[in-house]
Amino acid sequence: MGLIDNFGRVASLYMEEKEQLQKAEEKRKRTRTGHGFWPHEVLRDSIIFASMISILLFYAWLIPPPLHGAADPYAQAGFVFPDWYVLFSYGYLRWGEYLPQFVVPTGFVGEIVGQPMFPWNAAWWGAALTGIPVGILALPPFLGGREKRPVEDPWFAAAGAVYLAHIWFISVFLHQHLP
Amino acid sequence: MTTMFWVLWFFIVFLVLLVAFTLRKENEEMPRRDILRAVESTGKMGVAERSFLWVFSWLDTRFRLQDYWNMSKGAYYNMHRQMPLTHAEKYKLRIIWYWYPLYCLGGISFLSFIILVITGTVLGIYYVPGGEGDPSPAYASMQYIMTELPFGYILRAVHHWTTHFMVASVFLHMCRVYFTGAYRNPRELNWLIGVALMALTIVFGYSGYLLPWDSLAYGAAIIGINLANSSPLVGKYIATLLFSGSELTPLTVTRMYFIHVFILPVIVTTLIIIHLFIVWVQGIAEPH
Ligand code: HEM
Repeated sequence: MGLIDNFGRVASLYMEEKEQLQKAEEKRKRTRTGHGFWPHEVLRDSIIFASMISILLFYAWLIPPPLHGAADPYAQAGFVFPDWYVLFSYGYLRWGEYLPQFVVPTGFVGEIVGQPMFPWNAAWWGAALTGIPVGILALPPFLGGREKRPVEDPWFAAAGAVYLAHIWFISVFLHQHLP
Repeated sequence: MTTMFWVLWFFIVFLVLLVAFTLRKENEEMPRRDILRAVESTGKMGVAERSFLWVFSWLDTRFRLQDYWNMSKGAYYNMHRQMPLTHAEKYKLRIIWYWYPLYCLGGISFLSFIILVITGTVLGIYYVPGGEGDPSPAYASMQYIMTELPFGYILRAVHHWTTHFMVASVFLHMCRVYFTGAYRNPRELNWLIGVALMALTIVFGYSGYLLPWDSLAYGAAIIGINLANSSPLVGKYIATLLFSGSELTPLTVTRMYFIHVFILPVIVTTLIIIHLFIVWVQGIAEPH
């Protein structure tokens, strides 16, 4: 018997065992009670969706969508304020103006792409700092141990709260307090 | 020209007839009517069941559904039994109002996306990105939509406000997933797809913000292109990719339009389908 055949034997044994377990599990689940999708969840979701759409239409009716003067490259840079969901990035950019700025030589690679000196300026501070909260979002699934609820796992819940507070700080508080 | 026209039409008619005659073979070998009668005689059937049966057998005589039917029946009953069960069914919940409404946020994100696709499609008919290298048609068509086009104003208003709804609900959905701990094993992949969706939703909003090409859009474009340009070594290339140049040019609007109405919709739609498919297969995380 070759190795492949052995693998095949192991796999079918595994499947047999698994099927037996699943059959037992199924039997247990068949005897369920509780609210069904129809009508309870459907009713609840319809109510929520309908309220959402009515709030939406109310806003659409109440507040005109903005359309300012046409873009003019020669005009004095006017009042600029991005939409609220990119304010965090804008906040890092504004913050970057107060952080140290320097010039980094890029050496050999820089010569090739035609940028021998890299200016580490406010814009790059902004772009790089924006990457941090976005990057952090990818981490949670790989940090935890066993499944826990927030109340059993206050450190994780607290970290989430700190994250939210930071986003709030950078996108609202900061803009209120920068000149 | 006219010859081509007729040749084309004859070809199309030929194809249609070919397909029609190929599909017409139903009565000869397959006693469809007998089967239908036999099924109908087994018990009382409502209008819905009857129509379904008719369509199903119609398709079966043409595409031999019986093979796929057995296959999909196997898949349906073998994938975790939980698949068609809802959250409330699976965990025997008696309370559906408590804080489980927060579990609607994913659905609200989805609904917002659908509304955006519909209103955006209609807006796209009237919006002109100004492909000739002149961005002023963008602004002019925006004014047209706002002041002259029947229902244009409300259409844009709905599109605009739904954007805000979608960003907010995606963010809150993420918070609910985080604070219920639903991102853990086995849902890591879905969380990562979600992170991509969150980022892409924001990029969606940003690229749409530039399209009217009014003064605020211009300001936002300057900030954006500065950020893109500032990256070490590759800055110029990133800016060219996203803004079609390392400085704002009239082509920037066209580039943003293409990103906003083609590239992002394709990616985001695909990711949402995968995301929802995974939720469907894995079920929703145990409530706490
Ligand atoms: C376009 C954006 C999104 C759409 C349309 C969407 C849709 C959905 C829907 C309908 C569900 C079912 C449960 C529920 O509604 O709460 C769900 C679950 C889930 N979503 Fe999203 N979602 C989006 C973005 C995100 C984001 C930004 C994240 C996180 C970074 C995320 C992570 C998850 C996870 C981990 C689940 C499984 C939760 C559980 O099993 O309890 N999704 N999503």
